[in-house]
Amino acid sequence: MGYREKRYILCPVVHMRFTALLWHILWFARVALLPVLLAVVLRRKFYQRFPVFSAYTGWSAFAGIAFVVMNYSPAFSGKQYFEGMVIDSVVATGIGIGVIYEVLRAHLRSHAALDAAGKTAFRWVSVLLLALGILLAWLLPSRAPYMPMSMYQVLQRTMETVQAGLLLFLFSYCAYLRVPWRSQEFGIALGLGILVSAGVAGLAIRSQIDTGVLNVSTDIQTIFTEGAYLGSVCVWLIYILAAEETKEPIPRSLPKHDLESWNQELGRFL
Amino acid sequence: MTLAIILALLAVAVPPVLIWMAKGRIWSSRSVERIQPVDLEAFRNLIDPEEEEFLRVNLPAADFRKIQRERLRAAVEYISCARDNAAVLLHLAEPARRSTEPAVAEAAARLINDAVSLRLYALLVIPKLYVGMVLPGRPVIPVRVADRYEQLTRQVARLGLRTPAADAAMQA
Repeated sequence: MGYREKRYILCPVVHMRFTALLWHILWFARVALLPVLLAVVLRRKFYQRFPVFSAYTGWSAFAGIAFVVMNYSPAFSGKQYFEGMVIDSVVATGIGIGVIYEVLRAHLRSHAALDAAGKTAFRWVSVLLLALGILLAWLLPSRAPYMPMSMYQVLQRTMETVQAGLLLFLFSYCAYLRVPWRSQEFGIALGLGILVSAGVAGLAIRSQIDTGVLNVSTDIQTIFTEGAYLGSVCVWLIYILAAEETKEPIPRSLPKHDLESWNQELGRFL
Repeated sequence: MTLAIILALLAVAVPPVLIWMAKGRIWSSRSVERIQPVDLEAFRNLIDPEEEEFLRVNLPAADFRKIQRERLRAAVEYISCARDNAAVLLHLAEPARRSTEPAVAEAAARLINDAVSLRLYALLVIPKLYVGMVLPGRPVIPVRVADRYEQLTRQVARLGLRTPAADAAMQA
């Protein structure tokens, strides 16, 4: 997530700005909660239905702890921390797109025609969003003084824009087709939506205000992204722990309809 | 900086939009009273390639274009109505899929599949009809497909099977 200089290891907590203290609290809370989420995922055998999301949880838990260690251990330099961020960004983006695809497949599994059309549309939308992300990278370059950081911010923002766009596509496709969401699929997608949209928003601002020095402005941005990340982890926990809703009364019969005839007629157009 | 602020605001709006799309719209229409009858025969007539050809041959070009636009606009309304009906049926069928009676559960699964297929077809067909409105001379249904369809309905009629399409072919 956000860029952290390793300077805080030299500062006692009492000398921290309030805003810096706040994002540290949010960061530690998130890092502490991710292994809990992973334990719940494993205990509930969630990996059988959502293996990619389970892998995403595992990676996030591992990366979260690794960054805390790297931040506070004198054995790791700022450069190594930055390299870790790049690796995390690449892995998390790859698995994140896999999670969106997994939710799409799980959601449309019972509708063969929609599944095929959805997969094709998913590929085309991915290409279009990548083009949009590249256009945004060209129109809105980072002002960070440190070139690798500037490139990292723009690439990360581009990848998160693609993920946010894919989630919008997924939700709008299902909303149009009126395919009802199962609560766990919805929870996974919503949690990821909160995470990546906060990432895009945070990086859009951060890339313009970054002077290479941590200050109150960058602290506020980090509070926002860390708060959103913590929120996503809570959303995932709540939806995984909650049982599937079955509130609807089951009707004894169904109304008559002529949908098959309509499908035959409309099929002629294609 | 302005573009960055716009991008940030758009990004912040994403989660509420996702919630609205998943929860807000889906539960808006579920009453069986909201199903509107749609005349399938009238729709068939509107998209009949032979009818279109007849009008093209017998009407002045300007009149044909105007009438063809009206016909296609009406066809869009028919499809939109059928699409809305499919949404209502889908909501009624969704809980029935969990029925303990296998026949009801199976019928519900079939109905859901038909309803989402219809909505997908409508998504793909309506833009084609709008293109047809802009370019009224261009056939909306590919001729080869229409021919094949006619051929199929004739075969079905020969086999003595009754389908809505076969009924229409026999009446014609």
